[in-house]
Amino acid sequence: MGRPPKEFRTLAKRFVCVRVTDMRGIDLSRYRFDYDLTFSILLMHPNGHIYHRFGGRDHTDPLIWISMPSLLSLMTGTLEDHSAYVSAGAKPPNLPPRRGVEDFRSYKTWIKGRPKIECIHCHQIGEHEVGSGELDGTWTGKDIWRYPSPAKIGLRLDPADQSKVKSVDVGSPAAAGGLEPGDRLERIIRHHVRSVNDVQAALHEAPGGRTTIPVRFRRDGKEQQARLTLPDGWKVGDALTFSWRPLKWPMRPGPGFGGKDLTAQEKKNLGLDPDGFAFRITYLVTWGRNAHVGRNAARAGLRNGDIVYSVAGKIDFHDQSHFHSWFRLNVKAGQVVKFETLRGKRRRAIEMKAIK
Amino acid sequence: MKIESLVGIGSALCFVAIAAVLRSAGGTAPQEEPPPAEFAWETDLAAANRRAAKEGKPLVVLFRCPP
Repeated sequence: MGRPPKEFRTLAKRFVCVRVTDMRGIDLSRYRFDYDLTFSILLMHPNGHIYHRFGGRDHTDPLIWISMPSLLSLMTGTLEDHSAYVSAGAKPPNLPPRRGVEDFRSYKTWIKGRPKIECIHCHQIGEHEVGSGELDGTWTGKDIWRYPSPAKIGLRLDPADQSKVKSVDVGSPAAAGGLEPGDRLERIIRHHVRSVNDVQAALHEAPGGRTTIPVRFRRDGKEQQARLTLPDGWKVGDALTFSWRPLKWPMRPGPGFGGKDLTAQEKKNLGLDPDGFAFRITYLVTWGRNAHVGRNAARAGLRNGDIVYSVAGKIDFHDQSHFHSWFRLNVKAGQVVKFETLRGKRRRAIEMKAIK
Repeated sequence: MKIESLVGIGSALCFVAIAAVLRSAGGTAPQEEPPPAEFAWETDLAAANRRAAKEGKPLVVLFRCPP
């Protein structure tokens, strides 16, 4: 257990710092962030105006955008923004009506008869969005590409200095719009940018179809404007980059089982490629409203302890999360999926019809 | 310096505990550092909002489950 460094404690005196550990009672219209995250900070005025967001991650590293120097820099910048906002009259934001996790239909069903629960995690918000949408018949699956990474428009930012463009992907919307390494992002659409999470929040609000977004930036001290044209479907990602998101869990159809990735040594001992994909099934979903999916996997012949090393001919999954993400994004109900498995020393091919 | 050094603290109770340990060990915090109890995460969001409005300060709202 550590203590916040002196720099943080000194700066924190100029803020009111509050930690939220339970999403019950939280107004989701007011506190808007990427609920898939397990760590997120909003820097805001008490009237609900959000100055900046801090946090964010990708499939490679949960802490890629999180460091104390970048937080301290953001807090310092926020004090300037707070001062300017207050001087300009601190006009309150026009927020949508209050909405909490308790309002989701699936939450009401889920919570009924449950023993006392310690807390509702942030990621459970997304799960209830999907669950309620399925119950209401409004879930289309199109709304899963949330808080897009700046890389989706070709921007690579500096984790230590997050409004600074580190590089621009060749042929990307950012390149076509004229952005260059070293440019300092200032505003995207209506969002004042000081962090990568600010960029993600701006992109989140942009439509997923073909669109154009305004970007204000500074180059060599001079303010410049760009308009980036984003193609239809620009938000859509792939199974690997989506794999870290807990939002995948309620998506259907799922395989109905999961387990533990094997180590390179374990794979070698079993005669499998040490660098390849393989996991041991440690559970079949035999509980809750999806118990029928686990029973379906059991009927197909899958058992606890089986090693899965190929799915529908694919062996290039990075890990089990990638497999789960791929399954939910690609497999349709009724589709037959072939699993190559190992039980003891015996190799078996098991076919399972996916169900919702 | 990773953020875990910040969030590992978790709550004001942790600071109080650290302060108590320091006192019971006969030690004191270094002169140039504020005593641990001077910084604590508030845990009541509504109260934090009221205090921020009263004192004219911005809020740092950390969403983080207990480890």
